[in-house]
Amino acid sequence: MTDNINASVVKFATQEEVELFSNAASITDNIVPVQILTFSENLNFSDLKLIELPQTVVSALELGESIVFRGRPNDSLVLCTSSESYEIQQADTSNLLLLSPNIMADIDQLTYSGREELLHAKVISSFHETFEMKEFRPKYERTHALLNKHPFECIEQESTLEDCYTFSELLKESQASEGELLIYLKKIQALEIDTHWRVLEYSFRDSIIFQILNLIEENEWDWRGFPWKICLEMLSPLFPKFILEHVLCIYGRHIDDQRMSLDEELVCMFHAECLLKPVRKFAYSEFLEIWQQSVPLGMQTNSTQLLAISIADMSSSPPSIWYFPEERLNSQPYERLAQLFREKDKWTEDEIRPFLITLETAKTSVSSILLHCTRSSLDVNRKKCYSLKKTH
Amino acid sequence: MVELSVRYNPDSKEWIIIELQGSVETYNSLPLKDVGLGDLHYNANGEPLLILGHHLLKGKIVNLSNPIGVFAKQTKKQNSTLSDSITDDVTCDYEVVALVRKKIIFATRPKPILVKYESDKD
Repeated sequence: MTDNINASVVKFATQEEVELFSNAASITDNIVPVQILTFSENLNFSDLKLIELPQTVVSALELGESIVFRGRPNDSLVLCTSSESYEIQQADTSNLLLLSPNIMADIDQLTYSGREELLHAKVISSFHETFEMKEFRPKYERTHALLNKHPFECIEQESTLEDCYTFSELLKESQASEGELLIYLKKIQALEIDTHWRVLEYSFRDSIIFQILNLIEENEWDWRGFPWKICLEMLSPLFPKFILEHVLCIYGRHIDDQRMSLDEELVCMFHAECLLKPVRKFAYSEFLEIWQQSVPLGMQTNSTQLLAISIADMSSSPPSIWYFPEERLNSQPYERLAQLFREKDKWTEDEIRPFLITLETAKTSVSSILLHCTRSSLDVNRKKCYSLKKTH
Repeated sequence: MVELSVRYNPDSKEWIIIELQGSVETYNSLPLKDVGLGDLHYNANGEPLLILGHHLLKGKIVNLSNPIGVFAKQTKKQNSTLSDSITDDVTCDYEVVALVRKKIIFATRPKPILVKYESDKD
């Protein structure tokens, strides 16, 4: 039905006129007062927007959380609560929606107080479109790029704060909620220095970790329980204390007031990165051997620690491995998959999952991303492999 | 970079959306402001009936699974004070002025009604 219905310019002001029409329409079983609908004299066509709200957003609003739209001028509209972010998208509607603050739709609340009663209700705006909120993944690649414009090297070289960003600047650039951004900053080991969030320059960070590991080894301390305060004091001539503490807290865990233990997995990953970073490719078996020799005594390397920091190609001869950290990848699923498939044509699910796991949301799983963007096939060993769908 | 805040100040009463197919026009394309739209009746079954011009529409009341927020853009107050260096960070840019949890949908084909005016009768 696409007929244009002509609104009557005649105003139904009186009971007689209303009855004339309702009789003509054979409405005889009226149980509640008739509501006369009129377009408001302040009809408002452009200033209002209708946006469907997920339950989580309603709760956040009701709790009085700060809710904001964030982004660069040409970005799509993203709404952030304190812990989630949503992209506002147009929902399909071609019907006419008339908005009224005082139409009664609950007939229990409509009762006659007198036989001749007429109620009046105003339509204040009309719409042909509504909007809905879709789960949104913040643009962490922007956060990453901004933080790496000016990584922290050492106090002496901190002459300028050019290209340094505060938390609220990063929020707007990344279109992220506060909760999401904090989790990301922690993941990439960023720290706040004088209101600016910074990452440590890689070789600077690496030299701190090596110094800590050397000190533990030289003193024959047990990495499962070393005196961290003494460690801190001994290294404080070399590095600022707050930086040392930051690094210790990433790579170690407090056992008690005196002792910390190193995180075995992170230290092994650190050594793997140090070996892989300077070379383009490593022979896989040779790498595993050198890697195990490089970690502190008593630590056990494990190939699962290599996931999401490297790519291994078992079909090449000899099998090879190269450095490929997840943080380089785009935050939007298809773009990320395109990057991954540029590195290697075919992936098994076990290989690709670690690079996609951070894209998972309540509604999107790794499997659904793969189903959506890739094709599966069986390789020579009859193992299931994925390749990129060309058209998307 | 832009950050627009949203203030939550909904009307204590829920607002209602009437959904019609097509569009509404006046006979001679006059603006709709202050124009009568129609009469809303409820029959004994509680079904909404809308008389719109010389048409009768039968509708139904639909409870929305998620509420719709009515967002109003706030026009920024001009800062006319002398201290123009103070940026007014607290001004909110959008306000949720109401929630809609019910729609009255008229999706059926309108039935023409024939009105006999007194003046037509002899």
